[in-house]
Amino acid sequence: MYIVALVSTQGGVGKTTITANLAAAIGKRGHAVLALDWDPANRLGLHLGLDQAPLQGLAQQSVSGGHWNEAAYHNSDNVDFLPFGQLCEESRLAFERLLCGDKLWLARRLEELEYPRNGVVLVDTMRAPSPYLTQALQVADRVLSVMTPAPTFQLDIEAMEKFLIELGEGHSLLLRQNYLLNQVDTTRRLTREIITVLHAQLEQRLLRYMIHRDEAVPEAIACNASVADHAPLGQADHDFQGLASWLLAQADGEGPLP
Amino acid sequence: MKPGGLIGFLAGRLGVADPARIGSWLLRVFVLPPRMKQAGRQGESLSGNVAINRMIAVWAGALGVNDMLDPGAWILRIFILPPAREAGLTGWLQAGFVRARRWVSERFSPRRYARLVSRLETAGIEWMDTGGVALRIFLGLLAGSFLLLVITTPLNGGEQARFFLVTWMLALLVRRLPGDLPGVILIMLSFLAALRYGWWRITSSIPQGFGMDWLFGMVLLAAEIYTWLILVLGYVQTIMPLRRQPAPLPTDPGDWPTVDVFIPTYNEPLKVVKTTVYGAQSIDWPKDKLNVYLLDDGRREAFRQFAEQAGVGYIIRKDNAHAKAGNLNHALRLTKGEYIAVFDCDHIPTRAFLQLSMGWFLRDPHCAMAQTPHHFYSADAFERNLSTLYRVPSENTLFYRLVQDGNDLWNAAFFCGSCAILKPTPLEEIGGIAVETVTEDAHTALKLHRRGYNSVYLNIPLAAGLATESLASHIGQWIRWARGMVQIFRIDNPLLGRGLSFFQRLCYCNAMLYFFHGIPRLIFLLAPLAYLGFELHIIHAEAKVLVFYVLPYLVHAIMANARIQGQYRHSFWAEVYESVLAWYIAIPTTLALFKPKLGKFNVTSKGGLTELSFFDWAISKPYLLLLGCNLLGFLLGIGRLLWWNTREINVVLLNLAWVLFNLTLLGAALGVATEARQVRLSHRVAMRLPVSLYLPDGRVWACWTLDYSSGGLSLDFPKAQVLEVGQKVAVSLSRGDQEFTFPGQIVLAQGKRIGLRFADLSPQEEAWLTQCTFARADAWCNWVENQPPGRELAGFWEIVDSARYGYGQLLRRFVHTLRAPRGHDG
Repeated sequence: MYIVALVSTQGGVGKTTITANLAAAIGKRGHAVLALDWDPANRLGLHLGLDQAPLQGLAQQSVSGGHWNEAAYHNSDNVDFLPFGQLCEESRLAFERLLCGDKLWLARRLEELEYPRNGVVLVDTMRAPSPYLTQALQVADRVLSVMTPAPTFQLDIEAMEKFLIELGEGHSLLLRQNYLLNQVDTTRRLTREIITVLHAQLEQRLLRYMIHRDEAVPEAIACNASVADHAPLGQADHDFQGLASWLLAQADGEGPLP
Repeated sequence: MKPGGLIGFLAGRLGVADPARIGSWLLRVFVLPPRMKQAGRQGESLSGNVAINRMIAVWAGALGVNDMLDPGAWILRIFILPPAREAGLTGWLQAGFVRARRWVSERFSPRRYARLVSRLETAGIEWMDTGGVALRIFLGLLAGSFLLLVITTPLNGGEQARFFLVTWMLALLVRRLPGDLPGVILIMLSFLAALRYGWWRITSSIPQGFGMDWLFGMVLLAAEIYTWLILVLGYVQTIMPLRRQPAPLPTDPGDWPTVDVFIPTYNEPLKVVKTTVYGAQSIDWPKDKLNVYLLDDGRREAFRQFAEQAGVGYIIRKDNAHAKAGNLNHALRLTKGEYIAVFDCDHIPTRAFLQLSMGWFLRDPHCAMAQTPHHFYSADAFERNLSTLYRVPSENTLFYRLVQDGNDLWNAAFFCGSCAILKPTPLEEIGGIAVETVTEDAHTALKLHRRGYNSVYLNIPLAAGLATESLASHIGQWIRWARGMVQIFRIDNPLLGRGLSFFQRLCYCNAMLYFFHGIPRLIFLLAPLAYLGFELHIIHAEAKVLVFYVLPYLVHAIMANARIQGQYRHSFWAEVYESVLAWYIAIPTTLALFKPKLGKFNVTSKGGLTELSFFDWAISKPYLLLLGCNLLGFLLGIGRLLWWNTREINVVLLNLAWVLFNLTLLGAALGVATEARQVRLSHRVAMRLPVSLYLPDGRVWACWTLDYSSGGLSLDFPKAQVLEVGQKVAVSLSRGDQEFTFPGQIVLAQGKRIGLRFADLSPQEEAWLTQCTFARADAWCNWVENQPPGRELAGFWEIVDSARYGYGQLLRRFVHTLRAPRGHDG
């Protein structure tokens, strides 16, 4: 089981879209992949083929003491999916208190899942700061910090590094963390210059597989399809495929955690 | 089994009519396979002459002619369609050949013997090293006396043939083995065969008396001696190419030297020069240590403005004395970089140029010059007009991939005028770039070598340019080189004077002597006419014996050359290149030999257009003349064969074969003279690069380029019918990790093939485009590797193919001219 946490310090950078399409790209190759919605916003299901946000999910199951498997879905792209589910405000606070009390809670739950050893788990994590991020960072084999080439990129990076060092108790997390750029439009001069700066600053930690801004992505969401189905061979699909290949190679190289 | 039984069995299987007669065995084994019996019978019933008809039937089978009585079918097969594969005799022979080859290659597979060969090589070297001088002298004397024995022993025809059979078998065995040693063995065998032939030729085949026979015989012998000399010098030059690797630079760029990049220009269009300047600016080198200068001998205002806007230096002078050499010397006086890099204005350097080629200067303080190959990304006249691009290595490949690398072993690699680095201090010592001749580059290098400086040749294409666009300009360029090299040969002969090592002398000498090939080639093109036309016996020998002596020489030379240079020049192509140039360089070289001061510099024009395909009658006149002579000779030869000289059929046949070979070479020359249409403004480079295509509707597509040029791209688009002609798009290319986007318009949408033309790019965008395409560090790295290595016979069929095309074109143009209405210029 290779666990990948998709995290960010900003909302709206496209974590959920990336999680869904990455899962579709991996699933379509016949590889076991689990998309885990680890965000009370409960939106991942809408990107994976559901018509409306599911009511049941891992949160209720956890609060009510049920097993996660009962809330799971499987879609036609061969993606296993665990929604967060909808919680009332009171239950959510209770759930988060539970998380704050036990840093390895998610790690244990995932272990209980007994997911195939070579499977990939993509954790669509609520943005920082949140107890969800803390949990996800504890368990992740690979952390992908999603960001856009916005002019405030310097602040985003600083905030992210702060969390990583704090929660990873040192620099150990930085070794398995990468920055992933989303919504890249290289026709814009500012974007190109920001990328140049980022390359110089982050070096190897900036993934070469960036996701371009491609109209095919919102179109695919509107059509309730994955980008791979809606616009195969487009640039966004190409980027997701590249990212998927890279992730699978990482999973292969590092192997499942004991 | 008894021998008789075996013979009887074989005779039965092969269908030998009379086992007692050797002739009927030969017929079955070599001429007529059993399966062809039926065809043979048909032939018999048509005419009384059995042998001739059988031959016809065999040829019909080999060529795939179905109906022997239909002349159209013969013409079709001989001139138009290639012979049907696997049909009749060809198929039978081919199957046997394939089986035999498989057997040989299984037993002598390079892998099986690779270790043995390398161990032998190292053991040999060690043994020589430990043995000391005495051993060397002893071995040398032993080998020398053996050589003398082998060369001078007279053998009659049959013995000589058997001797050849042995050396040939040896060559066949070693030629596919890996390592340098088999190449050396092949060279030695060729050397042996050449010496043996030469010895025999001089001692036993000179016509007696002092008549016309003798006169023409001596002329032919002189031409032959020239080719032996060039052959042997060529072997010395290329026996072990150095294959030098780049030397690393100091880790701190602060320790790297300052470099001035000189781009001399005279009359070339700004469009060509721009790309080169952008490429030079983007060379990876500390910005404060790299200065680019445009040296404009045309003194054009547009160039000054461009230089100012691009931020490069602009240097002009009052006159154009000494052309390019003078231009460089003038700039040398004004700048003060520690090194200069020279690029012709159409040679675009890649980013890696300085980082890869500068290291040797820092390692060797006596290094004064580093040269890299001239790579051409457009097709030259041969490749374009004969459509051999990517099939046959271009004409200059041999020189830049092998000859210069071979020179480098002897510290004799010379400056070629562009894509090179020079050190100004040694240059000052010799008085700057040499101005005495029209090939200032080679002469400068010669002067540097004389002063004891070293040169470096780095066999990595780090810059690329345009090839000469027509046969006429190709010839013009060669005339200049030939004249210049002969001038140096006259005024600063490398064999004489001080400061050169023995092998440096040989290498320079070969480089210069090579340009004298005009007259010898003309002699070979006309020599068979001496007999066919005037019945002069210019070689005093039986035809059979001559064949047994000359064949080993030719076969071994071809095999050795195929081994050492096959990848860079296919067999027989050197003869084509020489035949094309022979007439044109014969006169300038002769003149320059007697009057070295004569003649002026002409600039080679490049990047032009040929709007209509045309046959260059003006330039083909000598080829047509030679062609006429050879055709006449051929017809006379047929007459001699059938009526006049039936008593010496062998001599006639030999001369006819020679004429046919000449006709093939001339046909290929005529093919080159047919200038193919060339309408593109900017030349395209085939390369697969990933790009993103931004459409106006916000969709972005990932695709690959098929080729690029400074004006546009063609793309392999993943889906048909998405794009329309006229659509405005943006395309992004990457340079390292950076992406750059360029606006453009779709100009062609044919299925998945998309043509894109860039909109007006800003200067900054043009510079980026150059960096993402022509100046990529990996732009030319798979240069020769893409081309298939040459095989001896394949090279022959390539030139036959070219000749067929040449004659086809000639016939077409001729008919066209005849049919054109009178009073109009056709």
